[in-house]
Amino acid sequence: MSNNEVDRAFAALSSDVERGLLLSGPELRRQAGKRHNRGVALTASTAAVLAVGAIGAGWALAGDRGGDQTVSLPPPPSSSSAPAPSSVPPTTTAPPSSAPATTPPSSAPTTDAPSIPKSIPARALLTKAESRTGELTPQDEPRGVPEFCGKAKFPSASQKGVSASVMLIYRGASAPEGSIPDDVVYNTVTVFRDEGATDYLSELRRAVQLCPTGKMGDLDAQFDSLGSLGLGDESVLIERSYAATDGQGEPMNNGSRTATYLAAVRVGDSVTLLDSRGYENLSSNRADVEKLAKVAAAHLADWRS
Amino acid sequence: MRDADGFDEFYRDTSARLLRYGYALTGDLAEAQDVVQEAYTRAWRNWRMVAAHPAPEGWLRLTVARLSTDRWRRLSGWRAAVRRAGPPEPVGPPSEDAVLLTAALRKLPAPTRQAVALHYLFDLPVADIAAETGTPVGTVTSRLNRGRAELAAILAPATRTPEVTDVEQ
Repeated sequence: MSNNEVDRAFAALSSDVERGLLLSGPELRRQAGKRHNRGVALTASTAAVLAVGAIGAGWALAGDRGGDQTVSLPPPPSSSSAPAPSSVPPTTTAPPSSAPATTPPSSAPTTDAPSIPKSIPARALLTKAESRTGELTPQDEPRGVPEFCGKAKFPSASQKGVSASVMLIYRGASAPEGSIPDDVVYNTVTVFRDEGATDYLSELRRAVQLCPTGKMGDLDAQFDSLGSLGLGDESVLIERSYAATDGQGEPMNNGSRTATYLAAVRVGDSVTLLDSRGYENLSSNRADVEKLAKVAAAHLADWRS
Repeated sequence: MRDADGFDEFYRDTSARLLRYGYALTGDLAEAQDVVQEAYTRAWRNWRMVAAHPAPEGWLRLTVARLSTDRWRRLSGWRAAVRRAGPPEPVGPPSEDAVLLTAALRKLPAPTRQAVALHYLFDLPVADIAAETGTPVGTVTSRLNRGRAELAAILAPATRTPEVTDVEQ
């Protein structure tokens, strides 16, 4: 056999990578900070920025500071460093129609509208202990609405007051210590203004009706409402199913299906949402998701009551 | 406050290597771009932890390897965003040799492909590959031998020439 041939092929591959495009470091950080809560719209002006440069011992990105950039970048925000991942960072959205502070109405209406808290405390979300693996990661930015299909709309997003998310790697109570986890679950708590929380639950149910099929990553997914969980003021459990994949992420084409779940519970003006993703290419366990939803609903109720 | 300058420097120094690695594992440069950007996004989100890691680049390599083998699920954030905006396509067509190698690599089992890529692209000793992948040294050695032999067989000029001849006829 000829290992020279293999060496030469890898050298060719290394050269070929010069065609690759990567974001600049500051732009990558900026995108990382904003993408979850707004569904991120990468634009042509921010997507393809860096051509990868020199081959060989000194691999380096060309033009990281502007030298070889093919597209000009918008300047990074002044606060380019996001909060540390060890804390749950709140993101407060300013009310879009708030009146200028300098012109208060002489007789301000004293409505009973509850004020939006400044942040979501950790106790409102699922905890490290409840993950049963000890692995819980506060997200730098709260996650946005779940993916369904193009017809699904979430106007309640404009009523969002404050929100925070954590990601936990979950192991079921029956799984022995040291076994692989059972699920990866995102828990997001959001406090809405006005009727935003009620609207959000309605929009989730409507999304399932409008999107019997949609996308889950690259796969065709089917969405089914499994009805109420009987939690909080109202709740909904949604199943996403898609053709099972192998360890490579490729469809197994044997008719088997994988299922993950969305569980949303409203308590007053707030919603706690569980978005289970399954561990690796495995299904989520519905009973586990329901248990976690119950715990999450209790946390939210304790905090908001 | 995370160290943005430290992250940027790390990214500048290592991202091209990681892109080569992602390319070898996925066989597709656009996929590799997605995978690598997602890996660094995660690194930035956990930068204090990654920076304190004894081998930050190894952490990235592991993340790239995992994303490459389960990329449809793990890239939901980055890829969804890129899909909406239109993905940045690599510049120009791939070279013939790169296409041949990536096609050959795809025929290897994922763990073998990973071991071969770590060997050829990072020049890692067998013991380091074993440590990074959590695999016994003997298994890594076996994978490398098998991977090299299979790649050499596929890439041998004697194998390629008739294909070119057939196309031209």
